[in-house]
Amino acid sequence: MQGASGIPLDDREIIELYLSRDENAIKQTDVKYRKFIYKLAYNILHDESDCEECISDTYLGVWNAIPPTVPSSFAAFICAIARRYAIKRYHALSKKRAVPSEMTVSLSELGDIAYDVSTVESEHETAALGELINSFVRSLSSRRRYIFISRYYFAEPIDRIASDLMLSRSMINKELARIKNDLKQLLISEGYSI
Amino acid sequence: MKNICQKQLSEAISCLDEDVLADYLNQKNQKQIKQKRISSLCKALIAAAACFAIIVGSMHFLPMLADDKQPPEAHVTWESTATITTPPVADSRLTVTGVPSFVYDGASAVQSAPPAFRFEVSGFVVKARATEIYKDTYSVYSGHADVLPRDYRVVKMQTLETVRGENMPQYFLYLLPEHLYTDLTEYECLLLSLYQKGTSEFVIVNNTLGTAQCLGMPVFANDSAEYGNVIAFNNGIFDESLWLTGSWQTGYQFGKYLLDEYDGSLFVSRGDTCQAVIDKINNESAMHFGEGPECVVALSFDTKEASDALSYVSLSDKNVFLQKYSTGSKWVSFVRYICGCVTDETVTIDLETGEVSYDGSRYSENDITALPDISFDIAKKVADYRLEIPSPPHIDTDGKKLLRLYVSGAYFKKSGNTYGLVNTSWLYMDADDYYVQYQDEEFLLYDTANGTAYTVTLQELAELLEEEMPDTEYGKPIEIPMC
Repeated sequence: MQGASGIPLDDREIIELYLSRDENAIKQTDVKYRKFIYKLAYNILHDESDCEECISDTYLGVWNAIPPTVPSSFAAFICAIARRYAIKRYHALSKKRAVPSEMTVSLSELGDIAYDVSTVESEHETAALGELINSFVRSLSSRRRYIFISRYYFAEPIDRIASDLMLSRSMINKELARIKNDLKQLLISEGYSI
Repeated sequence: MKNICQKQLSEAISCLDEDVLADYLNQKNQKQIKQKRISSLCKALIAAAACFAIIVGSMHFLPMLADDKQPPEAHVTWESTATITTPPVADSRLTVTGVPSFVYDGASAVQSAPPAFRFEVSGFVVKARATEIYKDTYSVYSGHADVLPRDYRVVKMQTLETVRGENMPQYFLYLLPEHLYTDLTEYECLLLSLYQKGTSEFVIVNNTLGTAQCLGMPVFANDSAEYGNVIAFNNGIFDESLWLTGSWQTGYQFGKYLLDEYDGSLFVSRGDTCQAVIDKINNESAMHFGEGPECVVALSFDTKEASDALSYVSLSDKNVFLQKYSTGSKWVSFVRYICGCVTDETVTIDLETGEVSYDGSRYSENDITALPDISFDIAKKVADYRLEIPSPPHIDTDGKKLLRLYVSGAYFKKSGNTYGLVNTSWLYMDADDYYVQYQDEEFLLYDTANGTAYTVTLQELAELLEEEMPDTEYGKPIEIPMC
C-alpha cells in the first residue's frame, strides 16, 4: 500500500480512501498532515497534549465530513477543521488560565478591534462576521492577504512571516498596522462598535 | 451597535473560504520551496525548456569516452523519421526517438496503490472506435516518474465524438498497457478518458525493432486504463465483457460492487447507451479533480514569418523541436532537442498575430554535426545504474532512503563554443521522515572545442555559464513543506 514506508499519498488518493470508508484514510492523513496540524495547533495552544487531542479531533472531524463533502483542496479543508478545534480548545482553556501561545499575542494585537471580555454571541452573528472578514481578506493585496492569514489564522510568529516574505520585521509590523486599520474602518462602517 | 469579543473574532476568522486558504497554502509552499530547495544551475540554464528529461541514443560515438565495451543494452539507435507521414497536427512531432533518461523513483517503485475505479474526467474524453492494433510492442520512457519503462500496444483510434477537450484529430494513437492487451476492434465504440502524451517529454521505443520511433500521429494514453477509464459498447449498449477479461479484472475487482449496487459514483450502469453515459459525464461536475485537458494544437498561419518558423522547427534526422502548449495560451513554443537532449533554443509563435521570436542559442547544421552525442554516455549510465545505484558525492546515505535518481542531458552554447552536459541527481529522505530530504548532483561536461569530457563542480559550471552561483548545500537537510 502506498504510504506504508512513510511516503505520503496524493491528496486525491487520500480523499478516495475516505470516500470508500477505508480506515487507512486516517493513517494516510496522519502520515501526510500530522506535523502540519501539530504546528497549526501548537501556535494556538502551546501545549503538546492539547495539540495531540486537537489532532485526534481533526481526524475524526475529517472522517465524519468526507463523505458527503469532497473537498477541492484537502490541505485547506484539514486546516479549517483543525483550526476550529484548536480555537475551541483555546477558548475553553483561556477561561481557566492564560494560554502562553502566539495566538494570545496575535489576538492581543487585535485588542483595539475586539474586546478581551467574552460576550454571548450567536452562531448567526459569528457567521455574519466571518463573511465580512472573508470579503475583507479577498479585497487585500496578495502580500497583505498572506500576512493577515499567517498572523491571524495560523498565528505565525512575525519573524517567520518576515522570513517567508523576505521582508524585515518592522515592515511586517507596519503592514499589520495598515491591515488592522482597514479592518477597523470596515467593521465600523458595517455597524460594529469598536 | 454590535460589540466584538476576541472569541467571536477568532471564530469568525476560522470561516475563511477554502479557496482562499488553498491559495495561501500554495503560496506558502512556493515561498518555502524557493528558499529551501537547491536551485540547480543546470535547470536554470534551460528554464525555458522546463526540464531536460529526454535522453537519446546516438549516431556518433564520442571519442573521449570511447572504450572497448559493447554499447549497453539500454542503448537504442536513432531512427530516421523522414518516411513518416505527418498529419496536420503539430504535436505529431512530439513522439521523439531515443533512449530514455534514467529515473529511479523509490517511492513509486515500492508502493503503488490502485486508483479508485471511476472514469476520470480530468483529461480528454473521447468516443472512439479502434481501427487497428499495431503488432509490435512499445516501451514508453517517461522523463518524470518511471523506474522501468512500461510496455504498451499501440491502437489506432478514430474519433467519433469529442466529449471533453478541443481539436481532437480524426485519428489518433492510443497506448494500451501491454498487460491489458485485448482486441479493442471487437467493440463497436469506446468511451476513453485520455491524456495526451507529448505535452510533457517522453520517448517511444519499438521493442521488436529495438529502435526508438516517431509514430507520426498524436499519442494519447491513460495509465489507469483498467480502473474504469475505458468503457466499451456493443449494439449501442454498455458492454461489461471488456472488464471481465484478463487483466482488466485487476481494476474491476475494485469497482464491481459499484456496478452491482449502482450508487451514482460511476458514470455508467448496466443497460446504458453510450449517449446516456456521455450525458452523465457532461452533467457531472463534483468529481472533476483536474484542471482540464491539454490541447492538441493544429497550426496554420497566413504569415510568411510563421510559416517559415514552422518549416524551421520541422523534423530532421538528428534533431527535433518539441511543441509546448497549454490550454488557453496565446502562444506555442518549440524547444529544440538534439539527439533527444534539450537545448537552450526556443522558437515561439504568437497564435493570434503569427509573430515569431527566436530565443536562446541558434544551432546550425554544422553545430549539430559537430556536437558529441552525450546520449551514448547516458545510455551507459542507465545500464550501470540498473545494476547498482551510484553513491552520491555529498550525502552520507546511512539512515536515509533513496527517493529519486535522475540522469539527464542538455546541450548549450557559450561564447561561441558548444557543450554537452550530463547531470546526475539524487534525492534522499530521512528513513523515517519524508519531510526531511537531501539533494545531490554531479555534472559531466563535454567540451567540443578541445574534445574532452570531465567532471565539473557546480561552481565551475556557474563560472562557465557566467551565472551567479546558486545558494546550494548538497547533502544538507531540506525541510519540505508539509502540504
